[in-house]
Amino acid sequence: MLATVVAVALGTFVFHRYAAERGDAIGRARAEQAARWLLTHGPAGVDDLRRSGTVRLAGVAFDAPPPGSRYPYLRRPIWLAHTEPGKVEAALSRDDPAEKAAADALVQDELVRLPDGGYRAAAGERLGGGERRAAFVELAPPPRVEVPWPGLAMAMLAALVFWWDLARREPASRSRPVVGALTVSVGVLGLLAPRLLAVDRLEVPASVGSADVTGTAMLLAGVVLAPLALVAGAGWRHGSRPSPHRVAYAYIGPALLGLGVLVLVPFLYGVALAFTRASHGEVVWVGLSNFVDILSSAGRSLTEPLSFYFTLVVTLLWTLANVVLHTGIGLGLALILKEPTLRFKGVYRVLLIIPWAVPSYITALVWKGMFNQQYGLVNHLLAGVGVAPVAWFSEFWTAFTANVVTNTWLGFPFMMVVSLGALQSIPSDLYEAASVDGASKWQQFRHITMPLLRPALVPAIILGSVWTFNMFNIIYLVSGGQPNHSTDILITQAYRFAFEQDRYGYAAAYSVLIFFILVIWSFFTQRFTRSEEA
Amino acid sequence: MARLDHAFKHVFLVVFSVATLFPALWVVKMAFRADQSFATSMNPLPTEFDLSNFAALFGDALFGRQLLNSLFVAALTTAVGVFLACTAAYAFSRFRFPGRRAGLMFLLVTQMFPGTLMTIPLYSLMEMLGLLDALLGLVLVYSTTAIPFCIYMLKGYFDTIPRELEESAIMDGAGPFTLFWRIILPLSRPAIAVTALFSFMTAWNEYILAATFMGDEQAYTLPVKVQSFVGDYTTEWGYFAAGALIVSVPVMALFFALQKHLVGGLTAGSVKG
Amino acid sequence: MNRVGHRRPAASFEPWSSVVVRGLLACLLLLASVALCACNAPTAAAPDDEIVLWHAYRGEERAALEAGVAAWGARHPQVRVRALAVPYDAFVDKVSLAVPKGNGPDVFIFGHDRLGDWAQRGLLEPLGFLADESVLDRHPRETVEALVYGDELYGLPLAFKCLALYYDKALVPAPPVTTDELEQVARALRSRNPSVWGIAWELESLYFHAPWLYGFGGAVYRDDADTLALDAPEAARSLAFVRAWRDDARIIPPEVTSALTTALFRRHELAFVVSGPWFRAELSGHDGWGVAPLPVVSATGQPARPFLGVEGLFLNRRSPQKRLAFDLMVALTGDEAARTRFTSGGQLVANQAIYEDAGVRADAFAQAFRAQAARTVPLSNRPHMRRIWTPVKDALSAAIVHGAEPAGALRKAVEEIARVDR
Repeated sequence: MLATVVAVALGTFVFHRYAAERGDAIGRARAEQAARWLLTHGPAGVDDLRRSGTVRLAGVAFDAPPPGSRYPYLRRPIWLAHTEPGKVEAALSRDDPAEKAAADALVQDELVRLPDGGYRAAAGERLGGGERRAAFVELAPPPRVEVPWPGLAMAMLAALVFWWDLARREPASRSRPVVGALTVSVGVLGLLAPRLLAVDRLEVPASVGSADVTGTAMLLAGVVLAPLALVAGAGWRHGSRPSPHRVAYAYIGPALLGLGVLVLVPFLYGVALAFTRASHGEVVWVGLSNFVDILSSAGRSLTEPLSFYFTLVVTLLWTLANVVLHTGIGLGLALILKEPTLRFKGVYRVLLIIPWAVPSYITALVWKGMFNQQYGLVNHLLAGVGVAPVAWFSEFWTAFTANVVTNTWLGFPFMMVVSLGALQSIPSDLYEAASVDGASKWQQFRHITMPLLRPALVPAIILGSVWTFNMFNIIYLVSGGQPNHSTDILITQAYRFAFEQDRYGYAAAYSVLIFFILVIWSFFTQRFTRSEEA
Repeated sequence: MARLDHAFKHVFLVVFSVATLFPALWVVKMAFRADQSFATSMNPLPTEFDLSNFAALFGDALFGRQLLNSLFVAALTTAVGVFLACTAAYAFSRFRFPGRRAGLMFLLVTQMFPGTLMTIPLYSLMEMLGLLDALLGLVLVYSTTAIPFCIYMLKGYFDTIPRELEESAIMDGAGPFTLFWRIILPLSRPAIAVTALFSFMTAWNEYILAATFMGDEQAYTLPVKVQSFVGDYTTEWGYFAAGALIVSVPVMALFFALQKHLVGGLTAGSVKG
Repeated sequence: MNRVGHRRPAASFEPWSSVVVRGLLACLLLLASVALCACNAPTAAAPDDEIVLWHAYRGEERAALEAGVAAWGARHPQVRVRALAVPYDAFVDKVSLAVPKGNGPDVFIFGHDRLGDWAQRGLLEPLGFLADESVLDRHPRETVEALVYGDELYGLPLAFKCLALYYDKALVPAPPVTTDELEQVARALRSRNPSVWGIAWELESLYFHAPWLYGFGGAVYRDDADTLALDAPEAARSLAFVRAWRDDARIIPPEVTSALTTALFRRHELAFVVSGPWFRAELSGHDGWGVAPLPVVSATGQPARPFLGVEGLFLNRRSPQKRLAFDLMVALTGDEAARTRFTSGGQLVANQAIYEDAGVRADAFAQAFRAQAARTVPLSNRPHMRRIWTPVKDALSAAIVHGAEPAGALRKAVEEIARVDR
């Protein structure tokens, strides 16, 4: 029953959104069409429209630069025709209030939705020599599409009866809840479908409503989520007694629902974007060409810094180096700081999380300054031990090292805190027993700490590696990819494409590839988590 | 022996802490300097003690409001994130149900799609839910960002809690909620402290989404204010550094408060008891 | 351990679990209904007489702008004007997202280089109907032209920015007029004291390289504005020229960041800095410097011409109050508001009248930039320009800093851009 209500609520929600957006798209499209039609028919068209009464207001104007103007982009409108009497004026002076009003109308009359739900559209065309002709139309609001509530209730009732009947006849069937949910959703859909079709029958030109990538992603998410919710809801009614699973679902439900909406929609959006390309302000579907371009490393040799594969290797190196250093240092410090008898441990702990606490935007730049060839502290210290100044950002390995050092500094506190928490899961009497048995510190670490720490620490390491893989700001701020983008990782490349060159589709394709690489990586790491769960 | 051992540890910790604090000292230096340029001197120790940056920040009419916004968002994110993560992690740790593995995988997968292009669809979602310009919208986004890690961390920790404890409680007639509330949660305080700190940080330092979603300076969070000192050509580093310090203080205070839960021996004690 | 866990009797869940499940479902329904209501509720329409302005100004610039806004608001008591400061980092995204959704401001301020993109996507209202000659006559022609895309005018100029030559008066008594002269001065200073450097700018940025590129007769686009001119020999020559200053004459410090440039200049260890008006803020509390127009390139006899950037005031195409909003735009770009922005905001305003004031005539800083502005190239506002920066930066980095051959590096950049355009 509850599952049904959820399903209906979701279905109605999707319907509402769809009807509202579709209705809006249609209203706009018709207004636009009418304005364009009027533009080609001129003043005669205005007369036709006035007689037919299909529009509330319409007008045609002609505009040109004021004669002798020093600024060819200044314009003044001259009304040729208007459905409202008294608006038609020609060659008026700039101060004339009528012309000002006309100009106002043209300025305001972009495609807009009026407060009463009507639409106003303007269309223009260039006539050469800086002259243009413009037309505007105002339409009454389109008919509203309402949710058929009584019908919906009837359909629900019918579906329930059918379901109940099925349940009685086959009490042992395991597929019963799924069948029930499906029945209800088919009923609801069947009822809503004609309405949706009715919305669509309002003659929408094909050009309208395309390229709304977000809207598409949302609809897709709704389509994906609704059956999921249905099945999950059905799970609750598994068997005549409530199944133990439903407790588990109740526990994870809210978290996964939130994640589902806020992660799935952006994800689908990103995937959809990866097949597009922005061209002259329009989003164009380009199929797989972004992917082909990236994976063929775009005419570069595979070992050249800007090729996908070179960057991938650097990314893997970067991830590995960071994760090892973060975990090693973090765990080491946690082992020292976990000791209850150590004095000032609270102070040390607080001091050591400072790199995590201070916004990294400024500290990363401080590190960049420290690696300056001539005035940086690092070279200064090196000079103290007789090492010649290093131009850190001119060679791959030195620049890479500078990035890793900075990110290690920024990242170890997090692993330290995680390790401190994880270490508390090990009962201290185990250590006591071990030292009674004469085990050395190393043996204790190897045989007690390591195995018992794994369940709590491994997840953090896996997630840490995923985050490091996608960590763009440190590399962006410290080495900036120097020399020649060789220290860039995949995500900094994607960021560059998106925000330095406005190639969002290409960047999205990069993101999709990153996603797949990480999914493959997670299959490897699954072994860790699986073995630890026994 | 133990004392000598501690002495070594102290020496090491002092040296390490100093090395760690060194880069952060430049931030302090810039914060207490009157001029707004980036400190490039070799010496990170503050050479002057000028409070004008702080005075300007605290003197801003909206400072208190923005601090409150930040605290509200971060606190609520922590509460929502930790609560939802605890229940979900408990289910993942203690129950075997269809879709469990898929659910865990899904959590991991959510972390894998890079967030660079997420602002656009999130904006549309927030608009659709009517949560633009609402701090609650930020809470929603931040909690879902923090939850996957929190679930993973807590699940790992719950896995280490011996089931014998629950067994004995069940003998005493405890239901699952009592198990969860009276046994699992108290024993997991260290992990909850870690996830709380993490959730807090996630919400506390974010500024891009906050700046994009909020349409009124009354609704800005503190990091938005701090980031607004970064311009297209120049940055007012003095203000920025002072703001960065102000922003980091609550984090450290929270950690200081939470670390009493990072003490060992709890598990052992309850097993014995 | 796990095996034991499985044996728990399912019955023990019953009384409690149903309560929780119901509770959760109730929450879910509540959420769904809230979402439904949120959808159906008519979006609260902003009061008709509210004008919202977005900007990314800080400090004094912001105060001066807000003073102008307040002054206009005082003359229009029926209108509520609200200025919102958006962090620069988030500005473009916020405008690009909010304006098409109808959540944008009526008016906003940004550099003119984004104009083409926004205009193409229909975010901006052309001002041809709204403006007239008396409005445009207040501004230098080149600052107005920068705001034209296609054959429409999309904004009114507030202020301009370009590079000029800062010099240390203690090290250089009078600014050099040619590059040869500059090099001589720098070499002489360095031979006297090796810790003093000659000149610095962000070597790897096209924005900073542009003066030399145009000074050598090169350009980014050819005259037809559709094909790139970056692979022309003039462009390569400009790169070789900078590299010679860095590696042969050794008057440019090898690794320059903007923070370091400021520090060196303040310590009198740097004679010249190529930078824009914003550099003055970095020098607060520091005296003994001057600004002059960039020198003439001795090899060609042409002046080094930097890019001209104009901060425009743009009108949202979806604003419900275009006339009113335009009235605010005219007021904010007017001479009276400009004077405030100039004097208390320290902006190089785009109003001719200001530079004719007696007080401003004596302002060497303002006059130097005003003179430099007459020798500039307007930064292209076409969306295509956005694709140029990174590849050219790579070429500059390779040729000037990492020793690659200039012509080859530039050719590679042009090929890269062409590849992206396909």
